[in-house]
Amino acid sequence: MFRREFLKFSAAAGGISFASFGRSAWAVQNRAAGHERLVVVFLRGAVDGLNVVVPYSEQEYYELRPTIAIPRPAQNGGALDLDGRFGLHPALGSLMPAWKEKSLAFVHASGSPDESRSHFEAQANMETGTPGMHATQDGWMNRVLAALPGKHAPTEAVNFGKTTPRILEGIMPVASISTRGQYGGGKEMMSAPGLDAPTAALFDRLYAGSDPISVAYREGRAAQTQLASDLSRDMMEAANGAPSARGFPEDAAKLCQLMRRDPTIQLAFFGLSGWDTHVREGATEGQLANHLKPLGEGLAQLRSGLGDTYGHTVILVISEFGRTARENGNGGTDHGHGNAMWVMGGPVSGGKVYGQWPGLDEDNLHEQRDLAVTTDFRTVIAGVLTRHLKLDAPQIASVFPGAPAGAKVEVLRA
Amino acid sequence: MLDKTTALHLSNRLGFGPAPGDLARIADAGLDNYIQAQLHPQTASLPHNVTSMLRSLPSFGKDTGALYAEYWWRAQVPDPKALAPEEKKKLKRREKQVLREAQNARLARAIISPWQLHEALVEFWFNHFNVYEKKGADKIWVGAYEEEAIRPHTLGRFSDMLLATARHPAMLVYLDNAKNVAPAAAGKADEMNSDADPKKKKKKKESGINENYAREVMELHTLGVDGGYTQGDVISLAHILTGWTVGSGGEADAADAAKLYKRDKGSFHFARRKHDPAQETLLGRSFGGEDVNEGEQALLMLAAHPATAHHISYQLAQYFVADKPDGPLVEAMAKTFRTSGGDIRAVMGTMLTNPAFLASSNVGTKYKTPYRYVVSAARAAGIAPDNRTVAALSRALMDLGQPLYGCITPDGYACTQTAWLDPDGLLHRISFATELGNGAYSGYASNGDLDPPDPDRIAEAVGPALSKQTRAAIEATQRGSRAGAILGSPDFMRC
Repeated sequence: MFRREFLKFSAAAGGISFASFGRSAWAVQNRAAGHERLVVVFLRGAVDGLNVVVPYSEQEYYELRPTIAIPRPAQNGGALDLDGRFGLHPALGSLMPAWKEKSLAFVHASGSPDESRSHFEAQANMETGTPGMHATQDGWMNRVLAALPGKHAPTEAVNFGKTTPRILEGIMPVASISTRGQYGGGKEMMSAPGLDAPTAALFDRLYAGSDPISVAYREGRAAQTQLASDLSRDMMEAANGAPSARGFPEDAAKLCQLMRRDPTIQLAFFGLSGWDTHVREGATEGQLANHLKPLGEGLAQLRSGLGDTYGHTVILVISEFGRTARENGNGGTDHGHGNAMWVMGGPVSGGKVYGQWPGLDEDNLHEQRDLAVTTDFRTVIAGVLTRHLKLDAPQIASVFPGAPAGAKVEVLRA
Repeated sequence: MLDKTTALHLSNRLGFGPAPGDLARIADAGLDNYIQAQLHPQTASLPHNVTSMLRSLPSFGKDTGALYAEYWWRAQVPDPKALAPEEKKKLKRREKQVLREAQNARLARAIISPWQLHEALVEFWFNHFNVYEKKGADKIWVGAYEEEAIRPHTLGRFSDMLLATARHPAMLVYLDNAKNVAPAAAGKADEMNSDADPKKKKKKKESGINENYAREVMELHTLGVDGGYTQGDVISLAHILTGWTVGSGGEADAADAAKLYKRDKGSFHFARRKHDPAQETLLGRSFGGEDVNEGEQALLMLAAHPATAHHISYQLAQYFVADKPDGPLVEAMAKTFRTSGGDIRAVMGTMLTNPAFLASSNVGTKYKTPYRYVVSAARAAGIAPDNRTVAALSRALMDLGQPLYGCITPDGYACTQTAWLDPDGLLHRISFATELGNGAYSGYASNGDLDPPDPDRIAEAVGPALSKQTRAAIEATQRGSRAGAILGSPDFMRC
């Protein structure tokens, strides 16, 4: 609390010094709202958590997965040892520095209390934050946005993708950045191409109404103007050249630049697909490994590229459910239940696998097939929102109505 | 004689909006006549320029087996790895062309066909039974899937379409049923190979139950997620459908798969030895047997289930009437579905003659999907589809976030405002509209210049779609910007 008050005060007293950096009025006003950041990466399609945070000390793991298990550490292609019990998928070697400096943690056997094995339903559950309640329209990140204090800027939440995902849907405006463009020059970085002045004036007139379409237009224009100035400046300064890798690492680099530049950005969201490994999932190498590698590199990119801001950033990696403990007949895994959540960032009390491990005995598996859920995903996020974004109990209740109160898994330093 | 507002509504909802002259034609025909004509399309009768365009597409109209033999080079070349890079590039380009031709064939007909309701239903049903072009041989099969499993059934019997999609190679590959194999067969294979070298054993192990299609066919294609089935039913149906596969591949690495099934190359193949003949209970009814009939009976039961009637009716009403359709409308449609044995034409008839269809609260209230937006803009601008223009429109769809045949998830693209209205997408549409207004999607005039569409003709074509304020703002702007302004206006985002 003290820190937030202090920032408010310094911003009020020192507006001029911010202005001298050429920041817009949004930035000046919003700095006061605090600059703790939350990045959520949603792995759509259900990532196989048992091959990400590998329970290599369990014999059952190897019995259940004769062809796709990750070998024990020190074996050829083996897991990277985390704590003597669990190991990390070897394709995620880029994350070991973060683990060693204790800014990376996992919460194993976590997930939704709802048992749906439908991708769409389970994603909706995790994005609305109200599992089992179909009526909820808005997403929990949008409700977080609404709960944050201060004047709201059009770029306070940034979504990487073409359409607003459920998790960010709601009354608060959200800026979108297209992930399609090559990383090259300032202009093509912009999601929607900018309009020239007379055309913009014409459409500003056409979209002057108060209907939802006109409102969306104005939000888009405001975000476009703001992001264009953030990015074009950075592109000029990017003397080292932009990362050449495609996909997530590239987008993560974009986010680093935006966040370093623009203190109004507090929330960011990435949805990454391709985790629905029903067939030929692979083990040390293969389909899952090929997806994990750029994910790990992108997260490592956030750690190095955010600079000091990393100390004020929490990154959550979540997925709608886990996959069957047993491999199926196609060298893949089917829709399951419990999964591992990833938590990364400066404020994280890391180097630890959190959560109550239920084990992989047939008796302990959910419906004799899936890793059980022993930690409700909302309790982990609620803990982050409390310590990191300083939301109070009523605000948490507005973000996760109906969530179990009390028992939280604390993954951040006090 | 119908008023222009109702004519616009019919044009918008029974298709992709008016082309120049359409509103007058619909008004002349009258409400009932127009609806009846659209419910009985003569799909073979198309304008000459489209039939000649379709004929010019080398892969169009070929079945999956022929496409597989001609374009799926991985399975045809003896050693794909040994190919010279240049040669490989050529084969890949040729393969990719099949998808482009499918996209062109779809868009050209959506833009120009007088059977607009049929074309809208093609989009609806394709999304309902979605397959994705980037999965294995679906790259070359999405077009054939649409021609063989979707188009013949748009207004036919739902159960016919369900069976046609279930046994189509594109679906078998997309939702993995091609690899859904009886565990007993897998077990036998293991025993036989227990002494063999470990590499071989691993290969043989690639057989067993795969739940993917069994789950989605109940959740998405028939009963709906709240349709009352359990995880046990998913497993039962997966067992019932074991052995429904594709001859010689269609899998990600078809060269390898080609060794597995020699018969029915690139077509539906029932692998009797991979089928589980044991008794299974699905939704309380017992199924068993050694041939394809077991699976067909199970699918027919799902097609006839009351939950399916409701689920399909809701989705049709959501696509054609309102994002949140009225309960009584959906119930009336579901009743027709049940009593007619799933006759889609009858269900559509119930929907279109229900007062809810013309209720003013449902007129001009749907936010267009990118697909509907692009097709309606091309129609309003009177763009004559040729291979060059539709290929450009296809790229525009990608920019707007709805690449044709590119929906990765089996639920297909949504059709609601919630799914598509967002600031960034809207700005993309506006920049598309200004490009279209500048002539980027038109042909060339005789002097070689771009030939931009005539703004007055567009304004006339869309008639009452433009509000008074929008018309005033457009008239106040210079002529060169007007076409883009009409097509980029908030009025044209809705239908």
